[in-house]
This record gives sequence, C-alpha cells and structure tokens, in this order.
Amino acid sequence: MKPKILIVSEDGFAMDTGHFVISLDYGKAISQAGGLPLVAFDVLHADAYVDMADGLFLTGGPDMHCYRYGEIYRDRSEITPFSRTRDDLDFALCQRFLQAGKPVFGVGRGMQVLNVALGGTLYKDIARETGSPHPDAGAPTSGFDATTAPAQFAFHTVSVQPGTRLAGILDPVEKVNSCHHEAVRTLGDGLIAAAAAPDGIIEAIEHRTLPCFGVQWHPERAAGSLPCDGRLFTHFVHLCKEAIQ
Amino acid sequence: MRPIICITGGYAFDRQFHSKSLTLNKTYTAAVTAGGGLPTLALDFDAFDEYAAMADGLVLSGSQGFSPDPSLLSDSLHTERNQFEQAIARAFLQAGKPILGICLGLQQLNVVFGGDLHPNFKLEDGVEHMMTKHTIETAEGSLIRRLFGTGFYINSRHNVKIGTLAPELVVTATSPDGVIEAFEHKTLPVIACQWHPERMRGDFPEPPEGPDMTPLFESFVALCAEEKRRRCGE
Repeated sequence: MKPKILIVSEDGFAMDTGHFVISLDYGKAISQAGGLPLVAFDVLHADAYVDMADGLFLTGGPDMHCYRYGEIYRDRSEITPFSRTRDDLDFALCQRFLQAGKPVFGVGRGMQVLNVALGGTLYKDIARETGSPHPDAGAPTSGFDATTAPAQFAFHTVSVQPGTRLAGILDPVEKVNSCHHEAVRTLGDGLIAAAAAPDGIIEAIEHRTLPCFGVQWHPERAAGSLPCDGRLFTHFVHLCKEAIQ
Repeated sequence: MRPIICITGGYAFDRQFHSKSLTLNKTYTAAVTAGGGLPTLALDFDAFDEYAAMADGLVLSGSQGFSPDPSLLSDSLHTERNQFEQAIARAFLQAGKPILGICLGLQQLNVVFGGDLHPNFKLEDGVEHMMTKHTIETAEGSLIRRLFGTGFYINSRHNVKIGTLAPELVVTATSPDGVIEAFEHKTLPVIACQWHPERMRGDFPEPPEGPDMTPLFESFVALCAEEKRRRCGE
C-alpha cells in the first residue's frame, strides 16, 4: 500500500473566490515518488485528516498573516493578500502531524509554515528588511489578474550544510529556482538551517529529531533549464513509509 | 469516524505560472462536510484503484475549469478528465462503493453504464437549460421524492443532456420539457442528478424557490457509511 500523502489545498485563483485550486505538479511529484496524493480542504476536520493520511505536504502560496509569528502590520503597504482559511488549515494540520510524529515536508510558503508552527519568525520582505536583492522574478503579491503574463522564475545557488540530513540527499551546491519575497528570520524550536543562499537567506530547514523538513524553492516545478527534482519527494515518501512501520 | 468521500476536480491553470492544476468549487466540499463526510480530492489520474480502495464513496463533480489563456484548456484535457472519471467510477463500482454524480457526473455515469449523451440539445429542442431554473417532477419510490417531494424548482446549468439512458438506470426526475434530470441504479448504490444540489444549501439557495439539498448529501454519506459497515461485516 502506498503511503497516503495529504496535500493542503490552495485558495482560489484570487483569494476568497470560492474555489480550491491545486497544482498537478505537486500530485505528480508525490506520485512519482511512490505516494498517493490526497487533498485536504477543511480545518474543521484536521484531526480526521491526520488519521486518514501518513504524511503532510505543505504547498507554496501567498504570504501568511504575520500575527502567526507575533507581529502586526503597521502600515497598509505591508499588507499582502492573505487567506485566513488557508492559514488556519496549514497551521492546524502542521501542528497535528508534528504531534502525531508523522512526516511533514514544506516547499516555499510551506517551509515558512513549518518554521512558524515551531515558533520561528519570518522576514516579511527580504529586500526591505535585509537589504539583499534576493533573486526573485517578482512574483505578484497582489492583484492576481488573468491577463498577467506568467512570471518567470529567477535562479540562484544554495550551499547545503554538511552533516545535515539534506546533505545526504542534495549536492553540496545546488542551483534552485527562486520565487519568494518572505524568508525565515529566526528558526523554530528544534530546527536547523540545512541550506543557505549566497546572501545568507535560509533556503532549507530540517528538524533535529522529528521527520520534518522544508525548502524555500520549488523542486516540484520545472523552471527554465532546471527540471523538476524528485530527490526530496523520494526522501519524504521514504520517511512516510518508515513512519507507517 | 466520517466516511471518506473522494471528489473529482476540473482542469484549471493558475494565473501566476499557468501551471496545470485541478479546481473544485468550495460548495462541493462544504456540502459533503454538511452531509457528514470527510472530503478529499483525487489528484493522480492513474491511481483510481487506490482511491477506490481508501475512500468510502465517490462524488463526480460538475464540469468546471479556469484558464487565463483559453487555448490551454484544450479538448484533449476534457478527454483526459472523461477517461479518468469513467475509470474511477468503474473502480468504485467494482469495490461496491456508492457514487453520487452531479451534472457532468450524471452524464459520465450514464456513459459508464452504456447510455449516451445529447450535446447542445437546445439547438434541436429549442429549450434553455443553461444558467436558469425550472421545475422537475420526481418519480414515485425514488430517494429524491422521499427527501424533497413530488415537484420543486432546481437550478439548471448544462448544455448536454442524456440521450439514451443506460438499461440498468431508472429515471427519478424529469423536467417539463422532457429532460432526464435524475436517476438511480436498479441495484447498485448509484444516484445522480443533472442539477447542482451543492449550490442549493444554507442561506443562499440557488434557486431561492428550491428546497435546501443538504438531506441529499446526508443520505449519500449515510449510504457510504452503511456500505462500509456491510463490507466490514458488522
């Protein structure tokens, strides 16, 4: 029996339009790694979803509201569109899967959720708060518009921290896609930085003891000359298989 | 323990990267939840047997899609979805698990059982069934009549109707202009309707003249639970 991997659904094409939308790239990456992808919808059933699935995959998406890590927006210009229902579902599932000892893997926003769920904090805007022009193709953070031409990914390298679990999976230096303007500021309890960009931005995290990890880039997505990267998904599904036994 | 209800989605493309996605209106998950089920979505089109093994029931949803560029939503994607929905329906039937077909879902089930469809029937029949509402008359002894009575308004959002009904299916509701609006299977736990019961719930029923359709989802989820108990030999 394949491990059942729960994928958190994304809110709409714009937030609160009344639809769920979920990229098939995620499902394909999970399937190719040997898992059965399933989608979670409703925070009211968080406990039932934990019973149903063997592992949790946290997807990319819009910024979470910053109160999740103890801040408030002081200026209107700081506020990016957020989805309360998406935040609720991501955090409720992440906390419950961690408590149940079931594996969690997050990409993009998903890595940030994992960090904040364990008590970490975020930079709300890398350029403004660190001064680094972190490579990003300028993903739209507001005004999603059907007529907008698709954004292209930017790329940069990451250095993988020797001795981490991810160092056993990835090369010492990897080229990755980059599409984010938020980043990990302080690490959550038990987390270590497993990879960093040349400007010092944390690009991957893993837990010292729990079977959870995350990357800031999108390994599920082919971008430019970079094919999608199944290694992290294979590792994740392997962790889920181990957790079942 | 809530029965796990697998729902199918429609193709979509996200606005940011135009990557291929599935979409589902939240009215479906809310209706399944209100009926007592745990909603999940089938994301891997090759894994229909696995979904049939792990879930307790299947909802085949209506057609829907979104694309910032219409050329992305090609005919081949519709074919892919049809093939997948017919395959997963067969897998659930083989596992003896209940199916609820809604709109396109009703049409898929008719095809699975050997019936056929009549596309763009308005051109020949001169009747409008898209983005409107009309009354239906239910059949005696049907679930639909037990739940909602002999006649009532429903929403109407389809350009395709059932042509020949598959022999194993029984009509349970008809429109005044003769369109088959609902059926049940003679022996298997299969029910379907051409309208959108998931949009006829709560404070914003559509149409406002129609009944609240939550009991249909309660009945379907109860059927899933009953079949599950039977399978487990309780």
